[in-house]
Amino acid sequence: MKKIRLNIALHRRINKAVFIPSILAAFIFTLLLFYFTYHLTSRYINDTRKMKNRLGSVKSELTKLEKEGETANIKIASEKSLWNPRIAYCNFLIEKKVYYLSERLNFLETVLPSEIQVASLQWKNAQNQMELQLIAPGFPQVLSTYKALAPYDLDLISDFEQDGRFHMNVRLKYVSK
Amino acid sequence: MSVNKAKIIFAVTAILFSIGFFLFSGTWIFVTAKRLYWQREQQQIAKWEARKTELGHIKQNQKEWDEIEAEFSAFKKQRFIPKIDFYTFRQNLEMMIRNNNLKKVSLRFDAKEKTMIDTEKIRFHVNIVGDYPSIKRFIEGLEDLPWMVLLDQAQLKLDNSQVEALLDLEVHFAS
Repeated sequence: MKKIRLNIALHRRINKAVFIPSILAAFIFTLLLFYFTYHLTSRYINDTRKMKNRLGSVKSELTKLEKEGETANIKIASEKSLWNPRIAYCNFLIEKKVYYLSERLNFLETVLPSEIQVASLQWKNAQNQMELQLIAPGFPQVLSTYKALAPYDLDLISDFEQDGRFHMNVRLKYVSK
Repeated sequence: MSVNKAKIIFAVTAILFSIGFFLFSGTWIFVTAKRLYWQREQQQIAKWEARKTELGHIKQNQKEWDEIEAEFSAFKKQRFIPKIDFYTFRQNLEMMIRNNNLKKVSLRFDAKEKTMIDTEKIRFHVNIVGDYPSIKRFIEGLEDLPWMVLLDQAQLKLDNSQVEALLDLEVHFAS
């Protein structure tokens, strides 16, 4: 027959095997929380210091550069007003220099039909325009000349027949490639 | 282990844990909020950095403008005939006419004019006669000159097999 035991303790018995590890775990977790708080705080302090230093250095550098930039802008403005007209004039001269008459003559040699004779040519550098007096032996050549010159802003001033030959006065533009 | 002792241990651990938990969460919330605020400051820094680059360009620009005087005088030295060489140039022009088997009808020049870049401009009026290939060669020769010898106007007239050319040149001399 089994013996009956009575528990007459006033409080429940504490199970050490569960209580100690739980308390230990809670304690370790608490310690970890303190550690993370410390880590977070120290990192924050460090970052704040860095940020403040960076802000300070960039700001002081910027202030210095702004002053220099202001002086530079004033200087540039005065240099520009002095040099821009001169540069424009030099560019105008260079443009005039590279505007070749020989190129226009070569163009006429290629574009005009072989039977056409150039009686006179007038050319002005500034206007990019040639005025030509052409002589053709017959009317078909006149037509072929107009056809050949049509793409170059051809402006027909006059054409007439004299001594069996056709005279044409034309104006045209040639844009170099 | 007595119950009271266990209660004390539990209570101390619970207090420590609560302190740790509130401290940690408070710090985390504060740091996160601060970091969000920093984004504004970082944007400010980025703006300042951009402005710094812009100012750097201005300085570079100024450097380029500072060098322009030297560049301009080098250009003048290279492309403008020295004033003392006026007669040499005239002789060269006449030599070019002769070398291309052309006949000089006239060679005139106007009074010098001052230009805005402190140089002098003299207009030459060249009237020459010759065959077309020679005239063209002469024109090419003028165009190939390294100096500011500019062909301003030209008039070519065919007379029998000869071409009469009236050329207006603009010659720039360094003063």
